[in-house]
Amino acid sequence: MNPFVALCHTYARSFFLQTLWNFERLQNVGFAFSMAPLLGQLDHSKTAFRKLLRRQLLFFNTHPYFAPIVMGVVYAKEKARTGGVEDEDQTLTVLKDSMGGAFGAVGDHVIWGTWRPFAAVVALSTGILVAEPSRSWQVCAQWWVAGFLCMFNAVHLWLRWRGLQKAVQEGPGVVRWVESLHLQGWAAQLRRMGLFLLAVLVLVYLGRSSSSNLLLWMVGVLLGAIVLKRWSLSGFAIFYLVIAVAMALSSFGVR
Amino acid sequence: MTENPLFWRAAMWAGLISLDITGCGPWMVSQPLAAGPLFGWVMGQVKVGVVIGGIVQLIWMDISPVGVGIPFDVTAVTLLAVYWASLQPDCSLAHMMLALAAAVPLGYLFCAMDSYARRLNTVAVRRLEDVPDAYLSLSLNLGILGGLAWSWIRYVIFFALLMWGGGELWEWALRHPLPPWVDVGLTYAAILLPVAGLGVALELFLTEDPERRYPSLQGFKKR
Repeated sequence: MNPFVALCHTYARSFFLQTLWNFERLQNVGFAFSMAPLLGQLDHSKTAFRKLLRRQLLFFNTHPYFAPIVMGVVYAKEKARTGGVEDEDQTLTVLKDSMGGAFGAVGDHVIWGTWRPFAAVVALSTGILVAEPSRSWQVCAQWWVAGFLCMFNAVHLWLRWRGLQKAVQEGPGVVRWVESLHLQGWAAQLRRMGLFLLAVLVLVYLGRSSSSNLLLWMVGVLLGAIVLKRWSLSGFAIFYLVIAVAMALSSFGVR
Repeated sequence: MTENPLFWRAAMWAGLISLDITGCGPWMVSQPLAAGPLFGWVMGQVKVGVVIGGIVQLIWMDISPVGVGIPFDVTAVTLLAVYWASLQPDCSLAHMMLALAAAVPLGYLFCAMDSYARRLNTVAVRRLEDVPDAYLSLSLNLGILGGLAWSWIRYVIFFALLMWGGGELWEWALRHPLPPWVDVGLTYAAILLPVAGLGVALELFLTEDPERRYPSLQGFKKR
């Protein structure tokens, strides 16, 4: 197989990293499945390839978007090994585990904690503002779905591909490339921009209210939700609490 | 059950959308913001998908699959609520909120189902690891294919059962009009829930400490 094709195969297979997620070794099957085309590129006998593939079934867990980086590093390290390829390299196992843990933490914070909520807020605001003149649900839905998926996945797909490519070329040195992305700094900036967008969205939404009584309650619910969330109350509890407040308002005749 | 094939068709689409959670991706198609309108299109009521998807996305903005934790299943909540609400032509805001209020507890049921499915995965993976070296590559391919099929089938069965059972209850409930104060109250809820969701999102963006970002990881952890 052509090296570029093998890289593409690993990239495509990495989307199935969590298909057989299990409580014992977490993403191990997905990792081994994704690694197979790359490991096939190494000039090994069939027996050596099979032993190498089996070694990929050890415990593995990381953020799915950063997994291709770890795959590239493992491949580069295996490629650089001289002699005794059938034996397990303990340092590589430790490297794989520690990279998985570190990238897992970065991914949770930057991707799940910042990029996804930010992309959702951008899509939400754009959809509502664009659909405002025509009040068309169809237009709003199109912006939400297309806007959110395109924006989020542009970064997602790039990170997976570039990470894999860089890791295959540079091995463990890929961490310098990850550092150069300044992901934490970007996350802080995105949080500020997200706050601004949310503030605009709040003003637009509250501005639509035609009843001053209800507007007062809306402000109360907004502040209450912030406080309750800060106290770590779940979305479940907040949801039913708001329904209870709405029912109380209705039964007391607030208009 | 065969008289009304709508829930089967809906369950198959719902299963496909849910594959995005762990089956393939994640591409974020399973996020309520995308899943709601998409499923609304499937059901022929985009408005229902937009309203329910938007509210669920905002209220559960901080839900993330961190570590080995299985988060509350917001995708199932969205899809079930959109399905039930869409059974009524030109569904009112009050009925959308009623459908959503009925669907929310089922997020925990799907969370539990996912937890048991992952335990079964553990058994399957042990078997897979035991195959001789010569068949390992083939077993990995078949394992992933089987895992995808198994995920889709279990989602379809769960969704079909709940859509059918819930649909029957829903149709019974629709034959009894809501008291006026409940109808008005649920309409108020449709106005207040997005505000509460904006509050949740504001709090998420205001939080600097990453550890505090996942307080609502109320799901199931390894036992």
